[in-house]
Amino acid sequence: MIFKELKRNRLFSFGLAIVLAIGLCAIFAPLLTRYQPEAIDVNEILSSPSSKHILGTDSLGRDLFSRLLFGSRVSLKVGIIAVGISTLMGLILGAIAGFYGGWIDSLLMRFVDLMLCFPTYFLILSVIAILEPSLANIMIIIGLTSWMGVARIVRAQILSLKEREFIQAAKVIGASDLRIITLHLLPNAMGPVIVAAILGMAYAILVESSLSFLGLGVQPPTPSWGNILIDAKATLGVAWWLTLFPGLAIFITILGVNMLGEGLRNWEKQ
Amino acid sequence: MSEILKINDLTVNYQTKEGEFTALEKVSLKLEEGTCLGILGESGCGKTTLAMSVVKLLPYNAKIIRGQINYQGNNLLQMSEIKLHNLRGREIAYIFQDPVSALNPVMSIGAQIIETLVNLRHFSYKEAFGESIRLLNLVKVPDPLEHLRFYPHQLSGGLNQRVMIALALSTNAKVLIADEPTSNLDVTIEAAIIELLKDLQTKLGLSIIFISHDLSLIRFLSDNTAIMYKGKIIEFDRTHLIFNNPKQLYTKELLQATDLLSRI
Amino acid sequence: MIVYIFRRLCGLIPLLIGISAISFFVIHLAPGKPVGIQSDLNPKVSLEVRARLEKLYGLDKPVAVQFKNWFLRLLRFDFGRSFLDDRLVTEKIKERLPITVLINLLSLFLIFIIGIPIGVKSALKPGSFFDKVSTSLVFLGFAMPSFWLALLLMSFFAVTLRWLPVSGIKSIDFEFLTLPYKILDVARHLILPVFVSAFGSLAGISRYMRQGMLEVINSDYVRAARSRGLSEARVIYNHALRNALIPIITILGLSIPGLIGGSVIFETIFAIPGMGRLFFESVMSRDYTLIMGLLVLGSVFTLLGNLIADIAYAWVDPRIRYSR
Repeated sequence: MIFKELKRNRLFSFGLAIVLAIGLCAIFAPLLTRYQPEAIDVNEILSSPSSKHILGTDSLGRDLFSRLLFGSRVSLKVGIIAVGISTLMGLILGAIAGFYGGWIDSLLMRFVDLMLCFPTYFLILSVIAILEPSLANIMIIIGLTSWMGVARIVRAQILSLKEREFIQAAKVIGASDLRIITLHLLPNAMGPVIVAAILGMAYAILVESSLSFLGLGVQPPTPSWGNILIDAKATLGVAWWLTLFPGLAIFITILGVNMLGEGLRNWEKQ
Repeated sequence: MSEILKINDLTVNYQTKEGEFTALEKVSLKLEEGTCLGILGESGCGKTTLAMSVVKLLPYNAKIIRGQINYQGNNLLQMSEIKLHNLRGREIAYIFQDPVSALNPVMSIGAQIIETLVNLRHFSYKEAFGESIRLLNLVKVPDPLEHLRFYPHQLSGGLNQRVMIALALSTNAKVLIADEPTSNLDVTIEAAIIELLKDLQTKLGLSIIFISHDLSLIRFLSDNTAIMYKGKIIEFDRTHLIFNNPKQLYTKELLQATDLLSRI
Repeated sequence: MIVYIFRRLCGLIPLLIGISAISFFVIHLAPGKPVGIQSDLNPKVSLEVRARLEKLYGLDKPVAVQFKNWFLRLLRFDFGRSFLDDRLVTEKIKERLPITVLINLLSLFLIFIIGIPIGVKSALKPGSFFDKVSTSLVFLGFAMPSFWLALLLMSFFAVTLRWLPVSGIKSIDFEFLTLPYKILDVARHLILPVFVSAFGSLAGISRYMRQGMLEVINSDYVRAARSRGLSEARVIYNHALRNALIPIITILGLSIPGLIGGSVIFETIFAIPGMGRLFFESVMSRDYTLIMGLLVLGSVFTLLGNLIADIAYAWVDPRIRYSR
């Protein structure tokens, strides 16, 4: 039954396979490689892919494959935690706006408009400049600046659900607002929220890698797909593997997450 | 009277995710020149599919399985796209159910009528302007000069439907297919539009296919009536014969139901 | 129409106040105590910086007074002087702005002339070979990190093939070139940046265009136009496309924050002396006044871009143009 559905929704299945594979790589990273991601080897500087280093080494002789494996941990962590923050915020603010309406709603929606005025990266970079580019800060800031889509979705869902009979019935019985929102409204609005959250994960991974590439994200020597590419820029035309593989890792991950999200959306529509 | 349009054994299927289903099954009809043919049926019985298949404007998932549609002796279904194209509008025109959605929202009324006149009938802009005022007069739109500049959303449903009829007439077509042209309008406006159609039919000698679920409208307007049920024509005859002496059980029930309603 | 524009302008006021409030909040995150030295981004200037910020923004005064002062300064476009070289922030931004605006306009143009025809063509024959290929490419495009694309194009066209310059906007011998060659030189430098900056939105626009066109093509008025016997070209271009393009204006407006934000990435990669790179430099050197100035101005530009898009929308859509 499930298998048949998976076969029908190919987008979802491919996406799931990619995401699972990357998740497994992240979890079992130490078991999949002989090299420490931060171990420098001066005899192996910029060696091209070989049986010894299957994806080659970087300008400090570190094994690219193990750096990519451990880098996946950063990407997934950022994706999950940033999206957790933004989804939670979007759920709370969207639910309040949709449920109470009136001036609270217009105030919150103006706030959403306001947050959307800031060019991508501008707010994030400003805060990072003032605080500090650590992994925790990055996850929090990405989360705090990307909840607007979820809030809008939740609000729209709740607005349309609010007038339905079962909600009116719950009100008549005297259920508290909190109970109505969390027990009756939100569960019925979850479908599109989950899709938005998964697509948001792709966004968070992309932003983290861009920041790390600019040197304003995860700081070396901790490997992140973005900061590995800094090295690639410095060795452009010398070490093609340094450009190709980390980018490919980001590309495939985002592709997989997007496929998963779009596949879910197709399901959700039915 | 000569037959201007003859539909023979027409079967149309729709392909959907759940599989194929038959929208029209072995439909045979004829339209005599200068008369009105009424097609009566419940919603979803295939009336619109029938109307759309006449000049092949069916949605892409529809397939004509077999049959012929003869217009003045030529089978439309075997006609090349170019010839068919020349037939649309120039010979056969449509009036849609919802006039507001059938008019382009970003073009003024005048622009739409003039566009048709210039492109189909090769009027100059000046001639087209005069002709569009004449047409709006013909369909009894007040103040044609002013209304030419209006956009569809600025007019009432009734006025929009008059504009839609003017647009259909602007093509100079001989056959008019009206698909529930009044079902979105108020009753009083409905009556006025039906009067207008009747009036135009006699004045211009149009042949009309009038599709409706409303018995009284069909009875008033059409010379011949076809009763449609689940994609089939179950009865086809002179209108007065059908209404006075229905042969099929379904027709009888239909008439009785309306009778009941009118007595309440 | 004038009433509409006026109403839109009034709607901007709370947003402007909000922008200044959020940026005000961001300054308040500024360190009040020395930060550790583990990060090499972190100059050991925290205390000194705090003192200067306090003097500049009056951070020692009550919060309400601080905000009032801050807001009044913004209204006068007074962002203070750069921490780094003591030049006026507005002046520094002004000299970096033209190149960024030029690149963004060029990429908007590129998005328009590539994205829209692709979307239209796939919508006209849904399920065709072209549609399938373009839909898949769009999907791949969505997953493409722009900075990686920039690196790939750079290494292929600039390093391997040597067809295009690697970075910057002028060659070293620029001063010695005649005018036509100067223009050609800048153009060659701009090809990759403009393409990279357009790429991100390209996928989105062509997808929206396809969707919009599909909806419009199945609408009654397009069928009605066809039933009137108008030529196919007329039906598609005069009736369908005109309607499908209207929502695209909004989408273009919405893509402005992404374009401005994206300029940080590609201007840094291609070493283009524009606003995006200025922002990157100000973040790297922790030039707080410059960061604040760019943050506020960047969002004001976004706001203005959205305003222009809204007005353009109202102007092409008679349903808004002729309503109160």
